[in-house]
Amino acid sequence: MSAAILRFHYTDKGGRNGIRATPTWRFRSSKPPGPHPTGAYFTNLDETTPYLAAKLCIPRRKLSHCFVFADDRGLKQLDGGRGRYEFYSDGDYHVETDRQTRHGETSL
Amino acid sequence: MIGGTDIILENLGLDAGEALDLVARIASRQWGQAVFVDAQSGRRFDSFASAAFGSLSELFVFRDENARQAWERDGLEAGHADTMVYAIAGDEQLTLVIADPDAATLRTVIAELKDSLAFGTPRSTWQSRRSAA
Repeated sequence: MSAAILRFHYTDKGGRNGIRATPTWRFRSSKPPGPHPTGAYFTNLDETTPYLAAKLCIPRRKLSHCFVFADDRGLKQLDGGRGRYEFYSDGDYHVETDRQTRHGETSL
Repeated sequence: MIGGTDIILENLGLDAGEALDLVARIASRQWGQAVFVDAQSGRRFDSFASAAFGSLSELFVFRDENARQAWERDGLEAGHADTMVYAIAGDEQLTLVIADPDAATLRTVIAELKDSLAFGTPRSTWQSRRSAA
């Protein structure tokens, strides 16, 4: 049996409140800094990953909260080497309760 | 949840370890006190001479130890955005993740890597210099 595919979304306290405002998590699509596609972004890297903020190239304070869910349906891989662990959706991304694994503060 | 710029370079001639070695060499020209870290394990190499890139596929190069500590502690912040190159070697590709691609030092690193990958590396010269280190 293959291991479950898990995806992680890191955010700060403000982002957390918006995502969990409804039972179905809603990750809003936005234009990230740099020449990356507009979308909602996810990773397969958990919070124990060394230099996680440097790999994602974001401030560490943006890693204070995490949402974890199963299955990567509808997500695309980023072009290039970071496509190994960076995924995005074309628009807002919804995760129904049966795919939700956990959410909460990280140790970061 | 993503930042920086991903510069994807075609790499038809070097295996992963060689490509990362090239990144380290070129970044070292700009940063004399550069610090190298295996980006998958987080292991910091004591020196360039002791670094073995053969089995690696991802490498951080920081300008110096202060920059490494700042990135590990804070992630991306404006004050040190121009002090890190994150290189990922893949199939016929070398990806550089750069927080500030407009910084002069990083523009030089990118340009030299493009040239070296496109036109070849003076490998014998480099290997002799490295083995003497």
